[in-house]
Amino acid sequence: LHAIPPTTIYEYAIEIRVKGEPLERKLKPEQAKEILNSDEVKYGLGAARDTFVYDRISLFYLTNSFQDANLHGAGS
Amino acid sequence: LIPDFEVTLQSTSWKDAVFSLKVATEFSLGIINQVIQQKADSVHAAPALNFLNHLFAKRPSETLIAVGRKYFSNLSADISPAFNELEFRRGIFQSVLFSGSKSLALNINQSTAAFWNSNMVDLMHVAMTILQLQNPTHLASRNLTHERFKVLKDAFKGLKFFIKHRGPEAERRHYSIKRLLWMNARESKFDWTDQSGKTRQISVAEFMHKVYGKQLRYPLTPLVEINGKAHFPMELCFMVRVCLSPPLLIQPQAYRPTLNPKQREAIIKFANIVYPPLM
Repeated sequence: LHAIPPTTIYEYAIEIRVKGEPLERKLKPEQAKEILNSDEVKYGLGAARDTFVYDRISLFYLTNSFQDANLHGAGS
Repeated sequence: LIPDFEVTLQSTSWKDAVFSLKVATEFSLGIINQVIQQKADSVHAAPALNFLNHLFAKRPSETLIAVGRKYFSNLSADISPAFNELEFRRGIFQSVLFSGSKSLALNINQSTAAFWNSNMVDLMHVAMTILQLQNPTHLASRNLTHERFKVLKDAFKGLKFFIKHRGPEAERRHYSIKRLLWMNARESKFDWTDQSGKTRQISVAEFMHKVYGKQLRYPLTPLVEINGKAHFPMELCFMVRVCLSPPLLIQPQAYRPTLNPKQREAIIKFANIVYPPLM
């Protein structure tokens, strides 16, 4: 751990809004998974999609703990 | 760097959604070496340490049972024999931190935690195990003392379950128990409009029979209430075993209530912690 390179880390704010639903309503895990795995989102993330690190969750691995409409992710 | 973007997603299964991503902040991991070389204060390294904690948590959170920042395995060697309604599991707690003044370390500690016994099937099973009953009819409200009811009520709070009587699609929804009720399925009634449009009072037991064809075997047991104020008979509530992607298929629920003295003694014994005698 003493040789960590001076990589720049960018933090991103991610927001998912379901149309016609109040903001405080929890997002269904299946829907969240579908959204994050959609071609449009993958295209937007570009090459970074394979190195993106979500707070406590990865793009391809979603559990029921993923229920908040807003996520903050960090990616290099 | 990913440019900001916003996309509208259309789905046949869900309402349309808008996904947006914006750059919030940026920092360099170089700050860590600066702190180690005493060229910067460790306070400024907090975002970098936070990021490394997330990074190092990624793999364990995918392959182990995550409870907060602790991770537990499914290996039988790490699971205690069932202790009534509980089982204990060994795991790890990990965090990245500065070690002394000249290095960074990944601190890994052994941790032991209590989970609901993963062999229990439904809430009747759970209740009978907690109260150590052999006969389910002893769970009828009229047979429960206030003390025993309170034991169940405290244990059930927040417990997650799912139901099967509404079909496979509904099984994926998880409910959390708000409280246990004295009322049973014959006593709890609500307004119900039948197919002819006529509204009348119906008991939970009759409703389950009329609508779902479920003749309750134990209609006199206490009901559980969820946040939506719906009442469910215990025999129709099944313990949630969170299904994750492979390789981990079953994730038992962490046990949230405070452990009683016997349970504490058992978990300490399992964790193999030997305390020195008090002087």
